[in-house]
Amino acid sequence: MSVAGMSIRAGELHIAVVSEPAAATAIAQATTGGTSKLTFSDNLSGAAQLVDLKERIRQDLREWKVSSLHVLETSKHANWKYSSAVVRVLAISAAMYAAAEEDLAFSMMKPTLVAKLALSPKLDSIEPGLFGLGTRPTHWNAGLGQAYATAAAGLSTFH
Amino acid sequence: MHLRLGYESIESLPEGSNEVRRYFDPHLQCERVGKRIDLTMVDAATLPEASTLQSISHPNIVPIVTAADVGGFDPTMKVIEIVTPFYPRGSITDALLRGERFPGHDAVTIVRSALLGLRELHVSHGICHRDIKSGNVLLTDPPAHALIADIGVAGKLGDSGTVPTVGNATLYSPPEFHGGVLTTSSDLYSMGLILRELLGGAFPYDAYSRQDVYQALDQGRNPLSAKDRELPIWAPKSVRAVYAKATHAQPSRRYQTAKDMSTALSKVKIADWKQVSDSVWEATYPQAKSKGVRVSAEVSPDGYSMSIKRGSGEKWRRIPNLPDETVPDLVSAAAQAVFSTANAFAVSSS
Repeated sequence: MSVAGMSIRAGELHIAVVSEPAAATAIAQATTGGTSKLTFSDNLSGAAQLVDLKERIRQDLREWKVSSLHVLETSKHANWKYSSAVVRVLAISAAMYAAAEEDLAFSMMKPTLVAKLALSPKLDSIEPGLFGLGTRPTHWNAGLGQAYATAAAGLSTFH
Repeated sequence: MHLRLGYESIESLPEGSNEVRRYFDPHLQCERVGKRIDLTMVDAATLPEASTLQSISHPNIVPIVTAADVGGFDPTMKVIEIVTPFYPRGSITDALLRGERFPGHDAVTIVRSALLGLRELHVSHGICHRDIKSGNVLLTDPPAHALIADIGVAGKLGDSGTVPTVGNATLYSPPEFHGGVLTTSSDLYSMGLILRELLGGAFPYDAYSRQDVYQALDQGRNPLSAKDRELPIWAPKSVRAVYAKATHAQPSRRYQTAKDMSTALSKVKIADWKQVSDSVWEATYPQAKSKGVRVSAEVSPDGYSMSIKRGSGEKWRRIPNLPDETVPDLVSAAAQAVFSTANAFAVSSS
């Protein structure tokens, strides 16, 4: 069974796919080719931009044949700049919509829960080895590591 | 018991080597398109079109309505009609030949939509289309924008990610057609040429005979002339980079996935450029169509003097701190840089 996790940071969406862990030291197994980094299209605006992002998330989910999508919530609950908040909300909306169209389970995962499962009080210092990865992939600290941890939390909590 | 489709034929459509008709379905009160195929003539290396289409459900791939046996032919033949929905705008070729022009933004959106369909074929179904051309991309309303059509010569990609060519050389065939082996990047090469048509207008199809195309590919030459492959003068650097990579002669230097090509296009900001005279081009602002940017080129002793101004109607003003540029000719890198600068002003202004 494969599940996808998503982290949203500064308008960048990182998605990662994991399945059941292959090694005892891992909490989940990263799926080869199961990552994606998406941003809103620069040449679109408004509803067209939202639909476009939704379609790209949906296409990723289709190709990975995942059974659920889990998005990491933010721990920042105040002092949001309006423009940043809008981008985040729209990105979550696109993810929700894509999951619904693919008939996938969807959840928002609390950072505390994800951190606990990833054995890392700080989500910025997650170890790639927890997902069976030997080296640190590109974009790890930009959000990919968090996406893996969120996927692993989704796998552990919902399956 | 035989079921009968009570369709009324409205017209024959000039499409490729198969008979294609537009029908009216009196029961459902809608139009349909039927493509007639003699299955005994279908290459064994191609996928069965009807059942393959039935196995695919994607917003950017033309769906199948039904397939019916067609009687009245020689008993050695096995003729069927593949029925699909009718899309009034037709293909990109149809639209271009009707004189429709596509603003840069629309061109990018259409190609990206078609790439979603192609991505579904490549990744989810392991299929190489092998006949991507502007005639096989249909236009429809948003949000789909474009649909991949006619998988009549599509082939299943092998474990090595390759598929043999079939004898359907077109202007859109990649150089490796000559070598007999195609990959997903071959379809992306053809998609790059569709981007060129959307931005710069239809290729002069009548100027290329089928024999010319085959001969060029056999000799390892590009069937399209260098001039016909050129993007319009106003195309910004960002779209030139995507086009160059998509249509690179070496498959390994192209985009390897439709997703990568689409992601690259998602970063392209392109204004709606029009050539208003031999030496003047204008682009409107996205949020205020009555205003825009104008590029003009005047012959100078060293080539051309190019200037960028902004304004509207008859009132065009120079942009502060942006002096005129002298360029050797209008297809030079220096001239392209001027248009890229002007394009950046156009897409960032409101």
